[in-house]
Amino acid sequence: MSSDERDRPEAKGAFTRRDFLALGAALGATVATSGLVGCNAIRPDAATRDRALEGMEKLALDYRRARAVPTVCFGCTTHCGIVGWVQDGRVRLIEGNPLDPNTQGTICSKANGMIQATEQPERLLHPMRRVGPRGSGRWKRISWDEALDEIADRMRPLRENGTPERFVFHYGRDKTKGFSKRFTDAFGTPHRLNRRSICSSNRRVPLMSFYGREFEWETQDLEHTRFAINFGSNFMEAHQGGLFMRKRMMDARVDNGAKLVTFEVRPTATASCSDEYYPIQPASDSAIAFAMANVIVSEGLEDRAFWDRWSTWDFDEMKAAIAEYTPEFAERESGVPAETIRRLAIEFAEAAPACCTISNRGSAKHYNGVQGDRGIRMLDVLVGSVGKPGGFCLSSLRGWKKGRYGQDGLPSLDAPSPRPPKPKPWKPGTREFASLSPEVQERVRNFPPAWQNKYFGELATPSEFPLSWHWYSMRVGQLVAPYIKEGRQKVDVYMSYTLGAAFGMPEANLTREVMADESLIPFHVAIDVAFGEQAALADIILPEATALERWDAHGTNNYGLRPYVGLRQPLTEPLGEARPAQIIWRDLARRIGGGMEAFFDFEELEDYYRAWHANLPVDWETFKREGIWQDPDRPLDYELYERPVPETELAKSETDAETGVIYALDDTGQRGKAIGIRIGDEAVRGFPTPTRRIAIKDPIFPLAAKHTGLPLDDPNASDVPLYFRVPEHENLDDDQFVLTTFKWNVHTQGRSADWKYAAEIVHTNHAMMSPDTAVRLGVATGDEIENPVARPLGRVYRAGEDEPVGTVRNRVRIVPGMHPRVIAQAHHAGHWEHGTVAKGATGGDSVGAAGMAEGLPDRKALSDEVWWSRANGGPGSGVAINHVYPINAQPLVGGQNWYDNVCRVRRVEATRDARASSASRVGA
Amino acid sequence: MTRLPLAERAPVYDFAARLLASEVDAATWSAFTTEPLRSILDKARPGFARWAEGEFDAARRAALDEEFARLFLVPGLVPPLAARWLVETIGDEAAREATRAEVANIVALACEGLGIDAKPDGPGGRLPPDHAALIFAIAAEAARRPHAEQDVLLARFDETLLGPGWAAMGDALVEHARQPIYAALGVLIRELGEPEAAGPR
Repeated sequence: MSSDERDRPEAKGAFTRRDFLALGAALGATVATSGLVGCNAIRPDAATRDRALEGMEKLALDYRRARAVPTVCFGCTTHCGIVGWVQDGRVRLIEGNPLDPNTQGTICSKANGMIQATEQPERLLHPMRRVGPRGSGRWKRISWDEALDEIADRMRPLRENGTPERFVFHYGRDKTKGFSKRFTDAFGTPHRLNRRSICSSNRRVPLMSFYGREFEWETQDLEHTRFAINFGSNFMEAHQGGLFMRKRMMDARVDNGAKLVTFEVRPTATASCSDEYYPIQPASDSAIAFAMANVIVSEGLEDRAFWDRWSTWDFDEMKAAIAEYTPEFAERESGVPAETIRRLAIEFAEAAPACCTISNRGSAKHYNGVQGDRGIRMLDVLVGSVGKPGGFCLSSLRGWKKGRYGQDGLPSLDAPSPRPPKPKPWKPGTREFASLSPEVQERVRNFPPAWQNKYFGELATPSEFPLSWHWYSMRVGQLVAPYIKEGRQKVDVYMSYTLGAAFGMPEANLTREVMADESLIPFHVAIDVAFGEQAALADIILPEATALERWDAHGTNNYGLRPYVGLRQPLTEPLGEARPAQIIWRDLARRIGGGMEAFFDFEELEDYYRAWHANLPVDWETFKREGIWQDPDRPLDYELYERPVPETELAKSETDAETGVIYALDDTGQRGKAIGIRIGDEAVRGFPTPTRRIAIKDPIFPLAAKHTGLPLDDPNASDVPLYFRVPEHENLDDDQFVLTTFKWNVHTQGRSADWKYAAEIVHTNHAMMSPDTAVRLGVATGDEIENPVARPLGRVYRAGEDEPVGTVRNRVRIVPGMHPRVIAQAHHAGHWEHGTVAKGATGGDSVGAAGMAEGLPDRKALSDEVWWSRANGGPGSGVAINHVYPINAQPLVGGQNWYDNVCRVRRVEATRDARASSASRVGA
Repeated sequence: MTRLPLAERAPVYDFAARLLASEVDAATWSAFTTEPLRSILDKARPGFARWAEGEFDAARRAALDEEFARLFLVPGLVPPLAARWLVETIGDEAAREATRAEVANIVALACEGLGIDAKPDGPGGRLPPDHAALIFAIAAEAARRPHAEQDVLLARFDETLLGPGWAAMGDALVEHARQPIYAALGVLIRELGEPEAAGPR
């Protein structure tokens, strides 16, 4: 570009009205019309014109003209049934779908955020290819044909050359119910990676260990509970399924006198709505749970019959094991008075079976969290509330595929055939196996056959974390970037889909470094609705339709405990050139060819989803009109485990004499799948675990330890639940704190940062601390502090290294009710991409791609309407903090221990003066 | 000072719509680099004429394509949407929010009342209903009709959606454009948005 091209045009007024008229005349003579609009053949009549004029005067949603269309929200992962009011091709308002049995017609602010996600002025609407260095912000629009041809040309050789695994697909939010898996399976790669490990894998493993793979998520019967005890879950605000829980919990409190007790490190919305809230030492949740168990058995309040019938852990052995966990012990660990723990334990047990535990990431995302959550979940078994009204229930499953655990007789719903074969495991002797390092080869060679059959390389099934894929493939997403950097997997094409790894992964700088390195990621395709930090590091961007513009099947557990399914359907056509992800993958498969296309033999997505729901006993148009289907006559999902095994199944079965497990026999008389258990004279379904019982004592943990080199005396290797301290939390200095993080209710992590109204409510983050902590540190609200964050000390990635992972600077906010050892900062803020609203003014600690600061786009102009921007005298859009969190993958499981981080706190001097100056400016 | 009649602004709206909806192609390049357009645009953006002397070769096209994406597609600079620009000059906050929410509704009502259809298969697919190109194209189309100056509905559309807020978008374009055609476009949009459009006599 020449210097001339950068010259500014002359000031206003230089272009005269005469010029303007001359221009109009010239244009009229030389330039054809834009062709963007056309005239109707029939001119509108007077009534139509009058109505239009009246509408323009009133400027309001007109229910006479609007059309109500039910669909399913995608504002977060809860997926609530909603109704969109559509007028003139635009969704005007979103309300709850009263037919949704989970939400009971309620919604949260994120539902209407979907409109903003769809309409926000800076949404991605066109395919683009980068034209400068990766990450430089230089793009050009290209056609879909160009984009798909280029991607297909990159991918096809991998498949033709027999190296399909070099295509790595990595998603953040994929609710296409397996459609992306259809694509990756058809291509032949096992690399369909996700972000589960930074979310919920630590809390799923205890459940799957206890109850089987199908019960990775519990369904407390809060509507009928009398006592719910909550270990660090913020279900009133940010928990997946939280909307389904909170109304039921509050109804139960108001209508039935139910009690909610919360242990937390900070006063969350849930804590605030609880009857009792106790701020606890981080990671001490399970010390309290074990002490409660101790009290319950000491007082003889357990349901011994239930325990003996269903638990795999001998009662007396258990009693002896938890004897050390006295209330006084738990008081020392947590800070909660022993007498309180004793009282709550008795109240909990006396409410049985209408009582339940609640926990989620708060208790589980610690180094001791997997074993700790096993201890928390043990309480429900101990008092026999599992599957009982008001208790800890497990619902019939989504999907309703034939043979899956749950109520009998549900219509079978599944994706249409033909479906592609799954990739073959990387067993010894295969080409893929040969590509592994000698160390990994040795480990895999010694795996049990069942694990060898599930092993697909280090990205998909990291061998050090077999419990991340023993039940199903949860992956270890935070290790993808370091593993690629270490050369554990060669990547030729990387496709990210609604993934915010470059912003949200722990040590996000490392992710950005890898994404920016063309020798590691030669070709990056990003599919998304917004131009976030991930898309900014792509080579080609494909714009996706939003959830208001596309189809999906919907099924989830129902907290009302009666199975149902829902339908996501488009309320409007996609804006711009955006396309539903399913169409993108279909068209890509057709271009790649080689047989892939056979699995995408449909033209309209509606046809695909109609076929999926062919077995529903309701016609398609009715299903579309109502958006939800449920059989009101079905029983509730109580005590699914006590269902008798039907005689027809028993007739072709065999019972293991030692364990009582009933196995189906195949046509050759060989044992197949377990279908139930004999207990005494009864043949019942039991739980979908190997023993058909609740595996409180589970040999999978020491087995996994043995095969990964984790010493068997490591507490994470224990076959029974136990409590232990997080190593780095031992002996903290006075200026050391636990830096925790959280989600806000109006946001869906960082992805909603471009939703204007959501950002108006919450647009920044602070370093929250208790008043006592502030006094001790000599800081006040508004002061700037910095937190260097240390590496962890357990058996995890780069443990014990001296250098801090990073340092974050942020402003103090004093929050009464926080535990004095905790600093809490929300992780959604501080975007440097994601559009004007998200960025506002980026925080001082925000950084661009590693080594690419020079190439980052210019700081963009701020709208005056982003009133919270620093340019407008506001607080700015917060501070990016994810790069200072160490990668801390839980041994064996891989879940990110988000809440263990130990930091020091240093006050940044002179910030008070600056704050005072800023305040006076705002005041002026 | 009064605004120019819509009929006299219409060709400029059409030109702006074309430049906002899609990248510069050979036909558009040919049009605005030919006299008298070239000289007139040079008044809007001094230096334009000299810049326009070059060929519309691959390098030029690539630079213009990138500029289009930088200004209008990648977040941050000049999203060509009424919801972003049009309401900024409305002083009353409630009215501003109402108008922001209703721009798309006004466009739809205007199309219905005026008998105009947005073409969903245009260069940018289904344009957002408050896209500047769509609003400008509607204005240009309706203004060409007989007796357009007496059309109350069109007058309402003009008053509501072709108001001074666009001047802010023009200013932003003038500020951020690196290619003279877009700087010139910024001047034109600024003038279209001025209350006394277009400029001093």
